[in-house]
Amino acid sequence: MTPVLSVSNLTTHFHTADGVVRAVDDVSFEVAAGETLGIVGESGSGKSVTALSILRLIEQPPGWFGPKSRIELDGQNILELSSKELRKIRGAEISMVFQEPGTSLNPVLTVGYQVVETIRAHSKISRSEAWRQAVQLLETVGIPDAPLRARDYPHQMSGGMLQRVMIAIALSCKPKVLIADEPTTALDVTIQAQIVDLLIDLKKKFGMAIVFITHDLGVLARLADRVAVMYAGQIVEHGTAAQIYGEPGHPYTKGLLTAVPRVDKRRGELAGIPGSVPAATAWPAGCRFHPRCPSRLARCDQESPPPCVIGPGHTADCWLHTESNEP
Amino acid sequence: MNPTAITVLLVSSIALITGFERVAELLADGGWLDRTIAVSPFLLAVGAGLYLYLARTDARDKTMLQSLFRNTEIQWGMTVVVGIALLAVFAPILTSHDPQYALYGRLRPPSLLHPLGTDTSGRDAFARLLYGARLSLQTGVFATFIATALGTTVGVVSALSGSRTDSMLMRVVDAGLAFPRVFLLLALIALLPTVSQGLLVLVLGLTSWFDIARLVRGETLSLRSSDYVTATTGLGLPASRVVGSHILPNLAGPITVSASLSLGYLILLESGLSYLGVGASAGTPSWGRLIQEGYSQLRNAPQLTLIPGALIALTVIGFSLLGDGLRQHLDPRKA
Amino acid sequence: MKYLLRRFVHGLVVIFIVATLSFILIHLAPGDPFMNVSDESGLQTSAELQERLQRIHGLDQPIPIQYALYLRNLFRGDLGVSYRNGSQPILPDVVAAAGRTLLLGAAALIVNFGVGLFLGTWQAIRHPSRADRVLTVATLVVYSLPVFWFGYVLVFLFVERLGLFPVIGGHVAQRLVLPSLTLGLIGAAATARFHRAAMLNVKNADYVRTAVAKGLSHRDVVVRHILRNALTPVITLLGLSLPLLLSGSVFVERVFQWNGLGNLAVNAVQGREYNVVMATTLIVSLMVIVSNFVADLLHRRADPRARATT
Repeated sequence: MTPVLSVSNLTTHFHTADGVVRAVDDVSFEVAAGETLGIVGESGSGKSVTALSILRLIEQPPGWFGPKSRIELDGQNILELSSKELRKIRGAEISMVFQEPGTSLNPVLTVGYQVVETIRAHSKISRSEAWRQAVQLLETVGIPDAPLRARDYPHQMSGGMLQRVMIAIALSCKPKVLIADEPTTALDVTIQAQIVDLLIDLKKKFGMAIVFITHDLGVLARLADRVAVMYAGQIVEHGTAAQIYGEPGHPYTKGLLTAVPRVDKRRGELAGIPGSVPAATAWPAGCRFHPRCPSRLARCDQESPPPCVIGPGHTADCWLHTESNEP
Repeated sequence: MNPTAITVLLVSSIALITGFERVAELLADGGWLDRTIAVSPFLLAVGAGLYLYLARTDARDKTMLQSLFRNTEIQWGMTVVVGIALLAVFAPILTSHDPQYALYGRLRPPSLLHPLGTDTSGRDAFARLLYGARLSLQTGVFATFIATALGTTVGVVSALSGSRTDSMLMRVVDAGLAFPRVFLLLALIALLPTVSQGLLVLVLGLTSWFDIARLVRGETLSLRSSDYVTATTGLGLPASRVVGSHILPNLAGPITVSASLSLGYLILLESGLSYLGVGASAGTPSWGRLIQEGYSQLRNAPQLTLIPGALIALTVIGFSLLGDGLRQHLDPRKA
Repeated sequence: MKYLLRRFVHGLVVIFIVATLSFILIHLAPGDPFMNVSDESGLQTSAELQERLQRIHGLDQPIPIQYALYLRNLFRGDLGVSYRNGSQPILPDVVAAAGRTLLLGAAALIVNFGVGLFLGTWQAIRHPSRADRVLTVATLVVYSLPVFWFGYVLVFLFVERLGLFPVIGGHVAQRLVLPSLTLGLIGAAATARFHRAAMLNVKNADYVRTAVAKGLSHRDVVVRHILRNALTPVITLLGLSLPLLLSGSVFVERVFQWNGLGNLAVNAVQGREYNVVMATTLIVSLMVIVSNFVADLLHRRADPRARATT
């Protein structure tokens, strides 16, 4: 089955006064129609830049895409589209939900209008019809009293409500892919759960693929079909949710999973991954995780490990697996 | 190549070269102040030259002070301000004419003897320009000092007192900010029997403290609610210690920025008032009065009006650059 | 509605305070306004004439009575009579002068915001670029120029050297060009700086990124999202403009011999005509209060967040 979105060899660098920031280096993944892919990593791993790159929301300069980078939607390379064609895709075929709903909506326009704006940017329907659709969308995402609330301004709504509005905007033109860049990070835990429930529900209704970016493994457990683990601008492990959570292959993934405190084990210290994410202007040589890796081998600081297959559709970029399985 | 140092070197050298006889005179006849002025171009030229020589290879900032000076706006601002200040200081060296001496012949065109010609009363325009620099700068500095002191005091007091005092003081500040400054000045000047330069400084200072007060109040309020203050107060430190060691030092930056910008604006205001004829009328003129004396001759002797004005503009630009640069340095977020 | 009423009352209170303050200040002023007034024949006044003038102007009454009279006259719109002319009320002159200043101010405002907003927007769109940096320095320079000197530069260039725009004589519109350019261009530099900063702030805002991600056209993003939000602080600037314009016009009116409020005030100060000074102060206060009120209304209209407070 051909994937609806296919990212290959995506490289995004930023040329700044302090050097070249290699935020994303040779990242590849695919999303099938209706599938939910979770991209998980710490801050500084490059996951947000990856998301922004898909819709070319990177300012160039100082941003720069590597020449081999390809982002294919239904066969078309997004990186080669003209701005007119790009605009047709944004919001309509691929849409995005951002992290801070409070600042991601225009404060001087009503929320209803901001939904209408999206609809009318991509189809020639009348204002009243667009408004009707907008109100209906707001109802679908769970906003009570939708006809009334549609005339509210963003500052009159709570964070959770605003995020629902953003989701409504994102789904207004029935996109094929919804990119969610840490949509729950800025919200309360209870609201987080509500939003995740909403997304699961909407997935069934609209059938779009979702690329869900987060640093929170817990959130992905319920939502994701497949998971990609990112570290230092690269994908270090890739597989189904069951595989990643059940049989993690990369020491970093294992570290992330161990770091989640367990309610059933009262004793012991909180496990963390020693060290911190290095600066993106100077990634370590060889495997970028090697300075923090508990299972480090001699060759880990020399050469960067290739992806190794450790299960059906499950790969991990680690030298620990080369003896057993060449790709 | 630090432009300030270059300017110091240039101006000092020019002063020495063109004013050699006057330097000798001042050294021989003058009091201690005159002798200091006489010696200064030499010292400054040597100092600037040495600095340029020593600093020519070093590219890294070793101290915070050095990074301060790396800011372009600050550099050029300093250059302009220092240049004009030097012109004022070196006045007796750069010209031998007395600015009030009125017997050179009316409205002579610019010549080697009178670089800017003479004015309507026969006085040397160049001398008046240089000595006028002294007066304009002095007025600006003292007025700024008064305004800053007053504004800081009101701002800090307002921020640290109860809400009643605070809102009352702030209403006064709002009123002061809303009312057109020049009309306020005119109204106050109307009440003075005679306008001396000192009174003018006072009036200028008394009408220019409002924006500083508001700024200082804002900063103090945010500092007061900062975690540091909450923590130290929680530890039992007396309020005076907290204010003295945390709030005041942190105010130094914004106050300096504000003072620099105010200086430029006050020099502008003073010159404007003098131009209108309501400034000080006795003694050496400030630049504003030079413009007032010269504007009737705009056609025949435009330099009498245009040159002093250009210097006012340059001075204000210098202080604006300085203030703007300082502000950028303190708060790099602003583009 | 309630808000409007409150503001109106507030304005009245302020006028009252200003009037009282002016009264107090004037009567603290040293010097007798009639020291230098001469009668119709041009001779110095005798003691008798001085006394008579004092009686006419009510200056021989005790202070509280003078205050009461003052307030009553104010209410009636009577600002007193000129010291110089003896019998002519000063109100019509003051009002006429105010009108002329407003005309100049309006023209200057058009230049100011027309040029300033355009430049600010242009700079923000081109940021970061060489042109943007050059203009930033240029606006700083223009902003720092003394307004009266700038006026003379323009006079020198256009009137003396090019012979256009006569300062004396000619149609009002002709005479208005240079003064409004002088006042307006310097203001435009400040407006451009301010607006550029506001635009850059907004340009980097999250909601602009959302708007782009929604696939809106460039024009829609700039107008509906960037400009619309950047203009809110500009409205505040508009409200602040009047006091600055008034201050600047004092100088410009002198340079171009434009008989507005500024000129009137300066002449009054020099001639020690205290009642004219008071009158101009009052009219200026009135103008400032009205413009603040209008600016406030505009601001509430433009920014929904401001409507929350009554």
